[in-house]
Amino acid sequence: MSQAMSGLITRRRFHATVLGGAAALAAGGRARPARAADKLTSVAAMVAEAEVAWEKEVQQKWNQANPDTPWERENIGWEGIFEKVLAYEKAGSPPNLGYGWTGFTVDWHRMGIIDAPEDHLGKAWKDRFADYLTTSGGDVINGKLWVVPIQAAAYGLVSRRDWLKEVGVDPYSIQTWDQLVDTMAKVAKAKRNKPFGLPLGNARNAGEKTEWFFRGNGLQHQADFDPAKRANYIEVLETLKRLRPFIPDDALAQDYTGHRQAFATGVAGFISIGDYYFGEIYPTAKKLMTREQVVIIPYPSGSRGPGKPFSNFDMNCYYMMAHAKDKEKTVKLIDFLTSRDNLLRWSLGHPPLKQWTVDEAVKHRLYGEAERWWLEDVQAIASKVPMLPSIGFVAKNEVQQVYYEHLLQVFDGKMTAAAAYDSMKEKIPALTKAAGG
Amino acid sequence: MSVTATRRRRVWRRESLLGYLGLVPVFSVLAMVVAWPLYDAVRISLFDIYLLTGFLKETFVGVQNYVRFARDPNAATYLLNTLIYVAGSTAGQFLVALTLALILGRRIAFAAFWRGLAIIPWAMPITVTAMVWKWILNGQWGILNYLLVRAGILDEYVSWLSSPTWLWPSIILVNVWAGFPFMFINLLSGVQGIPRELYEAGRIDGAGAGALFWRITLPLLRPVIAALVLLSVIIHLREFATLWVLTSGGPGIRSTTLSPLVYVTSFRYFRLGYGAALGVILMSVSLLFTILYLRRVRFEA
Repeated sequence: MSQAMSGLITRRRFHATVLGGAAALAAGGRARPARAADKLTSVAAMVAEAEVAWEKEVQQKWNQANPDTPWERENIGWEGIFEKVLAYEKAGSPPNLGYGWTGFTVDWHRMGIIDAPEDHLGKAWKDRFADYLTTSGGDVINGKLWVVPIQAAAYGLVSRRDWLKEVGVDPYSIQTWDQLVDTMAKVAKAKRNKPFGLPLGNARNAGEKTEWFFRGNGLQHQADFDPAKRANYIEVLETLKRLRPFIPDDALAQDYTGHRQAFATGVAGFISIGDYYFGEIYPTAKKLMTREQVVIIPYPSGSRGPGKPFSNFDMNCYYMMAHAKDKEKTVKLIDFLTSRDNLLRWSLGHPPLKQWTVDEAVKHRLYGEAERWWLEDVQAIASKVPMLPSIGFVAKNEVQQVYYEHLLQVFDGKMTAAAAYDSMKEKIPALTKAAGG
Repeated sequence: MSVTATRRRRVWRRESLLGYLGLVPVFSVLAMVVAWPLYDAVRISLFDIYLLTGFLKETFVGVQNYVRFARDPNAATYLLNTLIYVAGSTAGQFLVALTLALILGRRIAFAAFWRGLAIIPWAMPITVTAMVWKWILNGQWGILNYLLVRAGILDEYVSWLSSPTWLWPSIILVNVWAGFPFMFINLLSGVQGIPRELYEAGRIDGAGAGALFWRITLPLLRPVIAALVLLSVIIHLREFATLWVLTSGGPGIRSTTLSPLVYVTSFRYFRLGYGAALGVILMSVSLLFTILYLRRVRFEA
C-alpha cells in the first residue's frame, strides 16, 4: 500500500496537501465575515408575483445607488421564515432585516431579537405612516412601532357580489352575525353549495381566519379569557357552530393556499381575508376579480361587539434585527425601502402611508387601472367603519392549537361551546402566562 | 527480534498511522454532523429552553420533559398515529413492491421498460409528489373525485384528507406510491437471484404457483424482506415531508405523528427542550429498529 501510494504521491506532498487544504479552509472561513460586513442581508417570505417583483426592483435600485453596500436578499416561503431567522440568530449571524407580519411582532419582541426602527430613524420617519398603524395594533408595543411597515391590510369578507345579487341580498346589509348566517343559508339553498370558506386544516390558519369573530364581539383575541367576557367568547363559538353547515367538509383539510384557491375557483363565495387578496390572485383569476362579481364587505358584528360592521388591520413588514451588524447602513436601507415612491409601488394591500390617493396608487402599482375599483372599495371601508387593530398575544401558535382542537370538538358536537370555553380557560391563560404575557 | 522484523513493524506502524490520518476528515465530519447534534439533542432535552422567556436561556430540569410527554393526554394519539403511519406505509409499500417484483421478475415483453416505469415515483422529490397528490385528493376540485363521480363509482365528492374514514388510507396511499420503488428494486434483485432450477424441480414435483411462492420464493426472500421491513420502519418513523404537505398533522391532531410533533413543538411553540425530548424519544425508537436491522445484516453476512 505504501509503495503504491508513494508511486502516486510522496508522504511529504500528502502532508503538505492536507495541511494546505486545512489552511485554505481556515483562511476561507476567516475571509467570509469580512466580505459579509460589506453587504446588507435580508430574509423575507415573499411569494406573490407582486411582492417578489417589488423586492427585486427595489434591490436593483438600492444596489445601483449603493455599490459599496450591496443588499443581498434571501426569499423563502412563509412556512420557514420564522425558523430561518431564528436559526441565523442562533448562529450569531442574523440578517439585517427579517420579515413577517403583525402576528410575529409580539413573539419576536419578547425574544429580544428586534429593534424599534424609530429609535434609529426618529419621529420624522415614523410620521410617514398612517396614524392608526403607528399608535395602535399588534406592532405597537410600549408606545413604540417595532416594525418597518411595507404593506397595510384592511380585512373583511371577500364575497361574491353576483351570488348575493341572485338571492336579493345587498352586500352592505350584512351587519350582524344573524344576518350573516341567514345569508349563508339563502346562498347555500340557491347555489346548492356550502359557500362559507374557512381553512380548518391547521391551527394557525383556523386561528387567524376566525380571529375577526373575537374582535367583533368585544374580545381582544382568542387568548382573552377575561371572566367578564365569558358570554362573548361562548357566542363566538356558537356562531361558528351555526355557520358549520355552510362550511364544506373539505375545509378541514384546507390551509391558507387552499382557502384562497377555494374562492378563486368559485367553490367558496365568502372568505375572510385582507385587501392584499386582489394582488395575490389577480394574476391567475383576472376574469373573476371584477366589480360585477366580487365585493369586499366589512365584518358583521356580534351582539356584544362594536354594534356595527367593522374592519381590522395588520401589516406586512420588515424587522430591524437587533443583533445584526452595520446598524447605520441598515438604517439607510430602511429609509430607502420606506420612501414614498417605494411604498406606493408595493402592490398588495394598501400603502401604509399617512395620505395616499387611489389615483396615485394605481399609477405606481403593478396592476394599474385593473385595481382601481378594489382600492376604491378598500378606501370606502376604511373610512366608513371602525378599524379595529389586530392585537398580538404571546405563545400565539400554541394558543391557536388549543383553540383549534376545541373548535373541532364543538363542530363535531363532542363539546358544547360553554364546555369548550371552560376547558380552554384552564389551558390558554396558563400558556400565555408562562410566556410572560 | 531481527532487524528486518523491527523494520517491518515500523513500516506497519507508519502505514497504520497514515491510514488513521486518512480517516480523520471522515470522522471529523461525522463528529460534526452526527455525534455533536446527537449529544446536543440529548443534552437540550434535559433543559427547559423556551424561546419566549429569553432567547436560548437554559434551565436544567432533568427528565421533566420526558415526564411531560408521558402525562400529555394527547400522547396516546400521537403514538397510535405513528404506529398507523409506519405500519400502514411499510405494509402497503411491501405488498405493492412484492407484487410488482414477482410480475416484473419474470421474462415478460419490455421488462426493462416496465421496471423503469415502476421506479419513476421514486425519482420525484417527495414534496412535489405530496403537493401533486394533495391536489388530486382535494375534496372540492380534486381530479380523483371528478373521475370517480364521472365513472359512477361515487355519488358525491369525498373529502379524502379530512374524513375520519379516508384520512389515513389517503395518506398511506400517497406514501406507498412515493416509496414503493425502493422496496421494489431490492425485492426484484432478490427474486432474480433465486436459481431457476429450484422452480423447475418444484414443478417436476407437482407444485403449483402458490406452493412455489410459499415454499421457494418467500423463504428465499426472507432475509431481504426482513432487512427491507426494518429499514422501512426506520424511514417512516422519522418521515415528515409527506405528512406535513398533505395535512400538517390535521385535522386537529388526527394525523400528527411524532416527527411533525417534534418540529411543531420546537419551532412553532419554541419549546426547544421539550422538542428535543420528543426527538430523543423518536430517535430511541428508531435506534431500536436500527440495532435490529444491523444485527440482521450482520447475521446475513
